[in-house]
Amino acid sequence: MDVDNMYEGFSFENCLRNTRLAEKGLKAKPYNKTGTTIVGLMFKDGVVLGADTRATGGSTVLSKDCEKLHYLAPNMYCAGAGTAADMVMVGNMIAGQLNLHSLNTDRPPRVVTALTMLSHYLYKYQGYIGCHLIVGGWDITGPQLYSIDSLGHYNDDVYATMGSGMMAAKTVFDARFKLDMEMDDAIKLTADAVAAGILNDMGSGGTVNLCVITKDKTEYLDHYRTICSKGPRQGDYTVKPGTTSLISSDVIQVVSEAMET
Amino acid sequence: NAEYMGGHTRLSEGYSILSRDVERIQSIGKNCVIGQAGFHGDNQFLYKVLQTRAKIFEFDHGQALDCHSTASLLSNLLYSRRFFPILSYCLVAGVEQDSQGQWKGRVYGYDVVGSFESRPCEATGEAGTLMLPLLDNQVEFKNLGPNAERVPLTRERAVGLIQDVLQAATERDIMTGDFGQIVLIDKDGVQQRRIPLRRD
Repeated sequence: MDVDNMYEGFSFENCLRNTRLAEKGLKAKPYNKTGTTIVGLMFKDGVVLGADTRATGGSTVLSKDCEKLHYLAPNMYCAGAGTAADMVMVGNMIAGQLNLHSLNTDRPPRVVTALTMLSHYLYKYQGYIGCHLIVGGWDITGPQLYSIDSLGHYNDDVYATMGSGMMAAKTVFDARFKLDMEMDDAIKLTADAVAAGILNDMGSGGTVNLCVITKDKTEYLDHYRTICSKGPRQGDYTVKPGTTSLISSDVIQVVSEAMET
Repeated sequence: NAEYMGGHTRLSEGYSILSRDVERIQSIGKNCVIGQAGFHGDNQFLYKVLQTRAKIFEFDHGQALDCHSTASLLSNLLYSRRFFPILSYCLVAGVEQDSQGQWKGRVYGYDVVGSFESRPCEATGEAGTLMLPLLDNQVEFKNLGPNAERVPLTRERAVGLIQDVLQAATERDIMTGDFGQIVLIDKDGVQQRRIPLRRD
């Protein structure tokens, strides 16, 4: 470990070693990616962000209930697809920087600030930080929605979809989106788009999580809609006492000393 | 005196679902079924060849192939393509009469080049490794202490077990889901049933 540079940024110490191991045939384990369907929609009074809850590593479901809507600021959330670790770390970092910036400027943070920070950060790492994001919020300039890919390119949109389920979700938006929708319609449409991703894309699954951001409040709708649930269990597989046989037992007295301060 | 086989009905490519309704378990003869995982094209091809060979045997010999003979035939078919394998992970299950006339159930598991073995239970495919530990415990009573209760596997329990095992695989494997096809084979023939599984 390079102790002097331990607290600054990324450590690249293992790169040479990993390349040589890969040449010898050692395959790295797949990263915990979020497969994912994330969507964002702008409506009359604000934005709705939506995401599924499945995290996959290869073809195995590693989490059935992971959170993909990350808090950036009281008036701003970002939905993230890509490598789960990258998403969480980048989300936390940007949230911290936004908070400091907001304290420094004595104003609520703007979505374009988060956008610029994210875009510059991701561009610096040339796409190796696997984050595909949809940033949405309400600031002094009104409702804002942007999508950013892992190379730092961003688009401003009235609706956006990212992740492996983006095409399935986009079909729902393309068919039914209208400008200046009411909140209830917007919420329903967003949930339907995520549902399309969940049902038709195998990298997405679980429940629909939504976040509605308007001028007055930010509402996080956890498990807004359950698309599929596990069927009833048919058999009883509880392990009864006596299944594991006790071979021997030993009782040891542990004497602990009380600490005096 | 009966065998159960369960499979799922989703066909996929990459992250997309090509079909939610592909039956992977098909009959060969009256008392035998073959379930196939792996490359769907090869599965269809192999099934056609196996079915044709079974028919030819019946015409040549005047009697149908019984279960262990079907298993052996399949093994030879797979090995004949040893150097360009048929990418089909098969399971053959059926009932046959032993020398005393008792009907016994058997399951044969294969690799792609035809190595096969008769086992009390077997699971194959993407999620095979997810299902096998539970099956080992409930069917073969593995990993239980000597005094543990061994609940005998009745027909009802077996159906419930296959259903639970398919549901468990669906929870944790992205490629498994949509419908489960459960097939019962006993001396009277083959019965099928379908259960819904998660579609996400």
